[in-house]
Amino acid sequence: MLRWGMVIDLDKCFACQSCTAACRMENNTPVAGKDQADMGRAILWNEVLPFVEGEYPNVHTTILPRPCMHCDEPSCVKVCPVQATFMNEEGTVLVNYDRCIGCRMCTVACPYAVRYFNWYAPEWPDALKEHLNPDPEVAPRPKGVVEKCTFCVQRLRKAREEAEAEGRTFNATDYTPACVETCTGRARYFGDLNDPNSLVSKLSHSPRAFRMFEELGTHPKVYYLKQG
Amino acid sequence: MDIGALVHAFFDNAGPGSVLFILIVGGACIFYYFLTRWIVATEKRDEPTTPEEQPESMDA
Amino acid sequence: MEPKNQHTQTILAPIRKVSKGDYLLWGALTALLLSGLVAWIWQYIEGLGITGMNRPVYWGVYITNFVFFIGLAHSGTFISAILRIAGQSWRAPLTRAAEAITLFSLPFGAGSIIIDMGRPERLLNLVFYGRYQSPILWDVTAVSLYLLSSVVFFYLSLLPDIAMCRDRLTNVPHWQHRMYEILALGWNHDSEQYHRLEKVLDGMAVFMTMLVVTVHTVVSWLFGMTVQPGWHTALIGPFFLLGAILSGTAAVVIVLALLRKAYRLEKVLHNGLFNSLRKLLITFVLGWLYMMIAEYLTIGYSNMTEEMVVLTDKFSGTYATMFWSMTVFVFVIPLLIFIFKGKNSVGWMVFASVLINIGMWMERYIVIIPTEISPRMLHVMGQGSYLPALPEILITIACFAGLILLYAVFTRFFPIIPIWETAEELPGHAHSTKTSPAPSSASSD
Repeated sequence: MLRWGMVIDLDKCFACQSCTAACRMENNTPVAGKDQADMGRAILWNEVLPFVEGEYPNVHTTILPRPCMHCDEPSCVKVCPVQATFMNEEGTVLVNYDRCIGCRMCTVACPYAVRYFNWYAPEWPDALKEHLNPDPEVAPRPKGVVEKCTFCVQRLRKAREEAEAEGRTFNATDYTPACVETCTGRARYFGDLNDPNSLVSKLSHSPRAFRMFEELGTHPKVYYLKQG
Repeated sequence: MDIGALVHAFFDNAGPGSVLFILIVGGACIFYYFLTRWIVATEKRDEPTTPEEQPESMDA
Repeated sequence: MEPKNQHTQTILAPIRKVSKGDYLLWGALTALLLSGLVAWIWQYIEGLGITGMNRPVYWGVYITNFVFFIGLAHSGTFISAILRIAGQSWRAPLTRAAEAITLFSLPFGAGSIIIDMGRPERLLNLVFYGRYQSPILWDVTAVSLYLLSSVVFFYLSLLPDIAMCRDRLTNVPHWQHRMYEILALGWNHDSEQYHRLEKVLDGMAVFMTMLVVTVHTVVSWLFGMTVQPGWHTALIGPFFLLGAILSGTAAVVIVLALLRKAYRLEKVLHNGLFNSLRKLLITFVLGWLYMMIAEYLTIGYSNMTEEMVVLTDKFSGTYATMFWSMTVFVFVIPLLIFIFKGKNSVGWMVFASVLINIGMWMERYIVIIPTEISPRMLHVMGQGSYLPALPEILITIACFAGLILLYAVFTRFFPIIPIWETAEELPGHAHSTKTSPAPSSASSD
């Protein structure tokens, strides 16, 4: 069984934000505008968060790219009253937008704050509207539901379809989420954590590897490689 | 029969919860209906429809 | 044969006429209720964006109201069920007044959840796709059952009095008399009926007590089951429960004083009741303090990073003003009043009770918001902020207005003091009443 996971090397990330931009174009997240963004209403499935430690002149800044952690024991899936959010067979946590009732229990339960709520109906400036990803799996979400990073699950579907069309067996390396593909510093790795020979699997066992809030028992499938 | 798997399936899946919810609330409705009838009915004192008197039994 | 009660005339007096003042009050409350409805429709059309909620403060005033109204609802069940089991006969005259608070505040508690939903039209998904691992489903089950049981409990204890209205109030409008006829279910004051009714009410009281504990604990578990700092504590259930009973009992004091004044029921709702409630309230206020100390000392002493962020925010940060005024409103002033001024003084009791309820609303707010403001990701995300917006304020006011409206209308059509429960003599058995409505019973204080 495949188990998709990601490794992010913090040494290589230089906060160019291209992952965030690629994610937006791939997944059709709406444009919030400055006022709404200031209120904390922006929807960014992937965010690059600066984490500043210490005070001048002894300052140390860590950059933390943050997609959904796709936990093996997700807090959000547990609390959903209607199974609108669920984990699929390959360990990816997804949202059924047609079933979500908008109670936002998952958003308050997620310790990583990766879940976003559609406060309004989604909007785009006209110029951007023409370039929305036409894939039906990322069709704009209606107002009042929760959405989040899906590891670009539509790309997985496409990769499988392609492999089938070309008459070859699907290989885990055929599938890459947009943020991984676009990463300028090649800081992101993606693959099957269950395959002991895959790159992500090996990197996840690196002495530099850690996961966020490991003490919470959520068992994220996104690993970070420590800086330094 | 694996009880653990059953319990797991009950809590994990969408649907069984609804059944329990409907059973509890629906059962309470029916129970209260008959309870009220039993209190008010005085003519047929010989054959009272005697549901269990302790409403807590609905809790199950 | 009707129950004999020397106060029947006094108790039934408010039902005979609907005055201009009533229409004025009802009109004003309906206007407030409608403004809330308009705000909700506006919110439904536009989206929850018109509220002050944001990321990470995904739950705001609506959830605060939910917790508060469910808490307020515990007054009735406490007075009528728990004190019934405990054999506290002095409670008889105020059972219905207290239960009516339960009945009329529960819909606004449950309604607050629906108002808070992003897709209220998908409410029935909870019934089609219910999933018992989610605390929301625990809530839905517990609150539905509680609401249903409260209606039944309330209605059953109202039956003999509706029958009295049917028999005595012959000069009311036709539709109103017809309503009594239907609702009385042919009650004919048979001694066997009273016997069965007492038996059922005693049984239901046990069940209602269990429900009260369940409901408010489950409400608190919406928060307690998450891993968020400030919420994830085993004490949150008992803490919420005690707060609920405190604010509920304080609400009973307010309601009793208003009823007494508005409907001239001083003889039935005598000072002794207030003195008994005063003792209860002293106990609950001290219990609340105990919970506060147990909760915050545990957190503060162990000094865990994430927990301390939330704690300092309450003690000396963004929410310090609110936190400390809450403590003063719920604990300091009421306790002083209860001990030194409250005895035989309805005015002081009401003042303290109003303060307690304002403070308890603030307490709910302070449990919910600061945790959301300071999420675990605080060090990277920065602190959030939240201020309720206009629709939230309108809807909150509407909820309170609706509660008062339902209450005011109810008291004009039904006796708010249970005539049969305070009667000197019930049909059939020479039922020595559970209470002696004479004020003399109060002087035991």
